[in-house]
Amino acid sequence: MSSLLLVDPQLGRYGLGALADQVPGAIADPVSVVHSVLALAQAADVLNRIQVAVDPVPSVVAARAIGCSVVARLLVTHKVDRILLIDPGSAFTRDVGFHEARQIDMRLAERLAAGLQKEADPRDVAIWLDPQIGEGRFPEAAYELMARGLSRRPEVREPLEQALRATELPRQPYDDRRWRPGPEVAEQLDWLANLREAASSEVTIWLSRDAGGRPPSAQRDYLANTLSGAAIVEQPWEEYDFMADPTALATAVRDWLVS
Amino acid sequence: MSSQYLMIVDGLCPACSSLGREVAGISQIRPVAEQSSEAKSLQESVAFTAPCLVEIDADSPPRIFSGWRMRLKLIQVLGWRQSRDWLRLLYKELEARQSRGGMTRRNLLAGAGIGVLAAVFNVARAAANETSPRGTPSVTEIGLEASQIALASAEGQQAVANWGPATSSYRIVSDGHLATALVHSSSQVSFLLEEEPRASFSLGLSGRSLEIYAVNGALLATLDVSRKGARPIYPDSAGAHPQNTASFGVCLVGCLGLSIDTGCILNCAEAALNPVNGLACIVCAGANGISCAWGCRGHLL
Repeated sequence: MSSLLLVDPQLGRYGLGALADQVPGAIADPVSVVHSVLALAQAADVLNRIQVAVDPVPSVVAARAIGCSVVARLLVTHKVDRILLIDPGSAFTRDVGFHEARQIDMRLAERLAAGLQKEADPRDVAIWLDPQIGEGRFPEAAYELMARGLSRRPEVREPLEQALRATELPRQPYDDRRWRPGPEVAEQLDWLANLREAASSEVTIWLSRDAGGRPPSAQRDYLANTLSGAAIVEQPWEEYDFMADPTALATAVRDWLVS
Repeated sequence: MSSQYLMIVDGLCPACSSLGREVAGISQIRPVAEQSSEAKSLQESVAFTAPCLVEIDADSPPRIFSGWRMRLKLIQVLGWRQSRDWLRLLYKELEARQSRGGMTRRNLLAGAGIGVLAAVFNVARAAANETSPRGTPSVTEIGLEASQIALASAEGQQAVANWGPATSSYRIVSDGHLATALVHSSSQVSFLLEEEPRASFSLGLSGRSLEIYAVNGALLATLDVSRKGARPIYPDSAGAHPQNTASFGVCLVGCLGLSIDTGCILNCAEAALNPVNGLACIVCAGANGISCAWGCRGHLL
């Protein structure tokens, strides 16, 4: 019987779900197939699927990125007992303090004050301005560009690019007008608001370094102060390093399971 | 094909004509009198009332922007550097409304800002017990108990932290859109939260000046109002630049026409600085996120 559900609506078994092979009893929750690039729409899709599923959800769940919004909701509605959140996104909580903490970690103010270090490559700009995007499809070159932005390590970028292509193509063409979640969904899936409400000691949050190698220290301190019962851990790896070699992350998840 | 913009002004209203003269110097926007045959021809396909901004695109029907949405659109069209003229345009609009609605500069600058709210939002004040259908412009005092959504919002909480407790609140209907205003009388500042697109800012009164703040309390600009007119004064932009991200956020929301949260604005600011960082913006703002972020990039620089 499975003892751990791995939730990653964006990348599914290509993302956190890949750990299922290395963590005994773990199963990968499928990727969202909703025709939207919006992470919140994907989270709402996965949450709905889990809530109406006939089979019970394992009581222990690990999630990554927008998956954190799904499992925080499952916790506050008492569908699960213990959760591990890996790199919950600041775009999916309305908590002003967390945004400010992230802004500090990003060094955004310093970077703005310093001005642009170099002009953007016009070829990169052209990819995002490609008319195909208006038709709900990414141009082929977008996957390499996205992977390049998510990791500075070439050995990570290659599997990441493949994962993005494998998961995004079936969701296209995107119809973000049809699938755009309303404000009530954003509120329901505000992971930090849900964790505050749950006030559970069965919450662990891991924060990785970003693609620039910057540590999430301010976010860690803020979450430690605001979620007194939760374990907040700053991890040494960068967010997508596990795509090249999931061993370190899988080991850490196994250790967390028995802790 | 890029869009064309017409500023429809009331040629019979001297103040509105001065608004028209104001935009005449801006190459992207062409002023057109409401009484002109061009405007009347346009009115056969879409209804509007001056002053408003009309966006004309070959692939879609004309879109009308008025009131607060017009100002958001102006910021988007002009870019931040040029849109420093935005405050001048805003003041011209206030003047236009004063001349049309009988508002005086005295009540514009009176009290804790409700005269300013009424003028900015292009509306007349309603009695507290009047109800306003969504299409009827009004400012109505509603009581703090009816403003719990605004008070509980992250922006509202930040406004209370910045400006002190809210002492009264108002419901504003303008251009078919709803906003809630919280008045912080201890600091003579009014906080405004517009629902769709979600946007917020604060207005304060200091002597004869109108101060405009981002939600984080950063001063965006001061309008120094005198008999000679309004003179915008901008704070020193050196330092941490919180106002840059705030104005970038306003531009982004205006471009997307959607409500997005601060975290998403930061993601898109990252993408605007370097398009390689695009995915985090797209997954929260949608497929048009990067093109809007790129268009609003001037606010960050």
